[in-house]
Amino acid sequence: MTSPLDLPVAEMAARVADRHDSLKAADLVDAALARVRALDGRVRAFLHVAEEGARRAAEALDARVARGEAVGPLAGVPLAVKDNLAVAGMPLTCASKILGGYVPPRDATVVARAVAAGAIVLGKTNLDEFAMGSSTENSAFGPTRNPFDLERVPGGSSGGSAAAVAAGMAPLALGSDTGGSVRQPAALCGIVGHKPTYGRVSRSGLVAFASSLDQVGPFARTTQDAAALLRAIEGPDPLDATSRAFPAARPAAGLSGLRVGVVEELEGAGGDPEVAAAVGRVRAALLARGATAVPLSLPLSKAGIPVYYLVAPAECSSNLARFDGMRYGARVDAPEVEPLYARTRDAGFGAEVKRRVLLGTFALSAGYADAYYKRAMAVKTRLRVELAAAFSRCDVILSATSPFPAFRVGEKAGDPLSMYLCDVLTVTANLAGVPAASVPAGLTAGGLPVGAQLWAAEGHDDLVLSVGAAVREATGLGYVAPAIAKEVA
Amino acid sequence: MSAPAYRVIVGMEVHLQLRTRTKCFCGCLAVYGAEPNVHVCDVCLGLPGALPVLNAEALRLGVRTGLALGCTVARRTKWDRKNYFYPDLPKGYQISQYDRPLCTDGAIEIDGDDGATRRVRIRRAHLEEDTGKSFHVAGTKHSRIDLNRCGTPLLEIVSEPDLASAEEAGRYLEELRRIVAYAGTSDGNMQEGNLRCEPNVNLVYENGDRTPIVEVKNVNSVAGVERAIRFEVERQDREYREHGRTSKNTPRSTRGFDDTTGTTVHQRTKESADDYRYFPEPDLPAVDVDPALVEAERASLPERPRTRRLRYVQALQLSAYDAGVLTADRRVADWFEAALGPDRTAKTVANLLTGEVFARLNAAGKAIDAVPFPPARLGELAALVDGRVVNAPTAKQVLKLLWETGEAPAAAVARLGLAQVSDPEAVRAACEAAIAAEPAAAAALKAGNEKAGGRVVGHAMKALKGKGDPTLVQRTLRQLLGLPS
Amino acid sequence: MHVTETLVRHVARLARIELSDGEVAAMVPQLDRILGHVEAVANVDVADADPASADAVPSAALRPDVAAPSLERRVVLRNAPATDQVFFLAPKVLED
Repeated sequence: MTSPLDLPVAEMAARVADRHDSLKAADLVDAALARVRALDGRVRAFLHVAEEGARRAAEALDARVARGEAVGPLAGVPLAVKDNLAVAGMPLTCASKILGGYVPPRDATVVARAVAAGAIVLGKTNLDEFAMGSSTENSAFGPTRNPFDLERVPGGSSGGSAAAVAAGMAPLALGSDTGGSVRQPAALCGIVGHKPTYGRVSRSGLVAFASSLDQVGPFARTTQDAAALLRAIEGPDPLDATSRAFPAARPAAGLSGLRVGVVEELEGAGGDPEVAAAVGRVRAALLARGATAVPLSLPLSKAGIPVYYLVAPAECSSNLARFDGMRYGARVDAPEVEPLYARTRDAGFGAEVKRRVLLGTFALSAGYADAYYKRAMAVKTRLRVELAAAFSRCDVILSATSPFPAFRVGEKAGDPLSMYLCDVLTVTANLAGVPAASVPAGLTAGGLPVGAQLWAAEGHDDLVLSVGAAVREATGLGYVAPAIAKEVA
Repeated sequence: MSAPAYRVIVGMEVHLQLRTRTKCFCGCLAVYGAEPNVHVCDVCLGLPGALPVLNAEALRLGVRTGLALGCTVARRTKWDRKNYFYPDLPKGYQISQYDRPLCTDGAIEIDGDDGATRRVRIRRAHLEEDTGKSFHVAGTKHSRIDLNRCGTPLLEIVSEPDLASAEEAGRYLEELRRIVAYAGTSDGNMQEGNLRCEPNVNLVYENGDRTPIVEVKNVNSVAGVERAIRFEVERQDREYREHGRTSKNTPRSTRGFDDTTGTTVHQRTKESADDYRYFPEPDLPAVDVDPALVEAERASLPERPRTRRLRYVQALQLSAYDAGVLTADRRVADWFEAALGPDRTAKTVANLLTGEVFARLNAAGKAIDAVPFPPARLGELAALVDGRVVNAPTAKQVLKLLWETGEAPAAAVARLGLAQVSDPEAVRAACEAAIAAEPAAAAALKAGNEKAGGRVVGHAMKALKGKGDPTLVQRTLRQLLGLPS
Repeated sequence: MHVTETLVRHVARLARIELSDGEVAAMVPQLDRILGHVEAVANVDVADADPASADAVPSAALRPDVAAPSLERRVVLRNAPATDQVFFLAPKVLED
């Protein structure tokens, strides 16, 4: 342990909050900024580094500690924020050209809450444009690289946040997960990523992709750290009508008697033998410690990708209508309104965004809505019911997170559908609104991380994270720093 | 060949601004006439990440209006997005209600052109948010956009095509406006755009042909609605007769009304270009409408203005005119009813209210709530009139005192000795004196010249200091002159 | 569903995106392939899908009718591409 940045978050924050301790928030911010300077030229996790702001915030926090004021459970912890979450005064780009120089007037609720808990916003991280993608290659500002192999993608769409945590630049990061955008990059970068129960975390200030599926979630090196960030950001928000309270957390389950669902349709999906083997090892370790396996069938999970790629684009086609060159963002001028819209949106959106807007517009359009959008919504309803029934038979479901480890930059660029299939194991949790986390499950022979995914019934986020902690204990597998991170203090 | 006969068919879409303090989905003030772009927040602006949260008061007023229109209120209602691009629509969609509106299946009644009661069915009334406003800047190529109005709660009230003329459409609007004013849910002011309407007009001929439905926009007054419909009726009939245009060969269209010329101008054809791609609004969960709320609103609804007006004619024996005047404004009708009592007639109360009281209010440019005394006091005065304690000129004098000093009518009459003189002896003495003083006029009256009699009556009344019971004075004079009474 | 250039142009028009001919040409096979995959929803039996279960989500929490501060006009207009300091400016549109 060479840097205080590598401490568990609770310990880091407790030391910062202790006025007699030598560790200051400013030290953590300096250390994080030093790592960003050393590594981010290669990783490209950040779109904006709030060097000045982070230093000022750290000094202010240290001054409060010095005055004996109480500070929160994330005191001084540097936090990377996906650049589809508003931070007042910092540019908000969504990795798109269409936002131009847009600066939001207020913080997203999750950002405000994390900051209230003492976190220091280090900067804004790269993503697939408007969170549409699984590799962070669809960024108008260039791709982010996987810290384990700079020739490979970090996953997406929250690839910048995942890479920042994996490379040790920030102990915590916020991402958003609409179809796997927290869990899949967490898996590909060897860290923990949690997609909360829909409604557990406020979406106010999160730029909407697909509103009924979007959830903000934490990235961290351990489930305990992720839980600390979740604690800070969760809870009903008067600014988000879909946010709500969930009953108090279940007591952390021991592994003894834990019913682990094994879903027939998700076994071996994608066919990468190393991924299947890694998940198999995790399962074996759980069973060896007293968990029982419950074989399950979720026939409708096979419809997950089709449903997701109708519902999410439909909502995005409407959510992105506001980018019209009138009130903010870029504008391509024209003498009349209609060409102004059409040119602004052609120039401002990247290819993947256009593809999804067109797909969603089609799915909602007259003559097609019944066969596409409405049908997909009906299947979504059934899928939800099917999953709820499954969770009456098991406590958690264990599966892989991604069908394969990190792929090469450019490998899937020419084939949108193959990119969509990256989400085959993750979209179902979004469609059903249930919590799911990806936890590290070791490395492939080639040194690439593999993630195991744990899902639970609606509201049981704590169960997911506590079983995630148990996985680490049982397997000894957890976050390991990539070689690149070892170059710096 | 004579012109083929047709029936006019009109349905109305009305957008009613509900009287909330703040907007439908955010906390900005919903006020008219403010400086541009000052009642605007991240939600109204459609900033990325901003989310709508429903104003409970908008829901309550929507429920209340629906009940006032005789609608059924949904147990559970939901929100949908209506997607279209327009510079005054910041999000690129309007939050509205598509397949599960708040209110359905109501009806209101109006006077039909044939004099019978016409029941106009309300198909649905749903909540939605208003848009901003755009103004073209004369002499330039651009428009100015003001987003203050964005998000103001609207109830869109859609009638069935049950109206058969421009006049019926006008009466429907008037009645709707009175109903919502009675219910207290909207200001219903067309000038300020609280109440906006879009008539849908077409004609049906005896041979079954129909003209294509035209939706008329930009109508800003009841008179405008009537003019626009009359213009459309003539135009559509001409198009049918001269060019054979029917719904079978011509698409529906939208036309804009020009108030200065009284004409409508083609705006656009309703074809597949109108694809609003409705889908459920994912930012707003469905709403369970609390049955207790519905019952509380139902219980507190006032009598409908039309029912009240008819009751005034039938039960209170007021003239249709007086009933109309008194029920035009609920506050006036409430005030009027508070002045009624067993010892006075509604007619006398109505006369005093619409006569002397209204004259004073009008002169001061004030509304009913500016009357400086409680309704019961006017009722007391009416009772004095009906009990023939005071006559009409005295009543006016008492009312003046009541208005200016608040002195109770009975007290003023007693204090000033204003009670009418009904003592037969006193009246007889005064009449005898009058005949003696005006022999010529008395002779003329006796000869049948009623007009000349006024002079004698005047003399008698003067002798009674203006307080003589006019009926008794008349009768006594005639007796003394030997005329039949 | 066979995706054609006409369909792509129609949808792009609805979405207000002015695609170049090259973009349209590239989009046709991509959307065709994607739609070919997502059409699998048609094969799922949804006859017994209970729409009421979608209603199981609790009723929305409502907001009291209490004013919250609006943004200053300066902030409202700050990010806009064209204003006259009072209004947003757009090319000429039909008046209300």
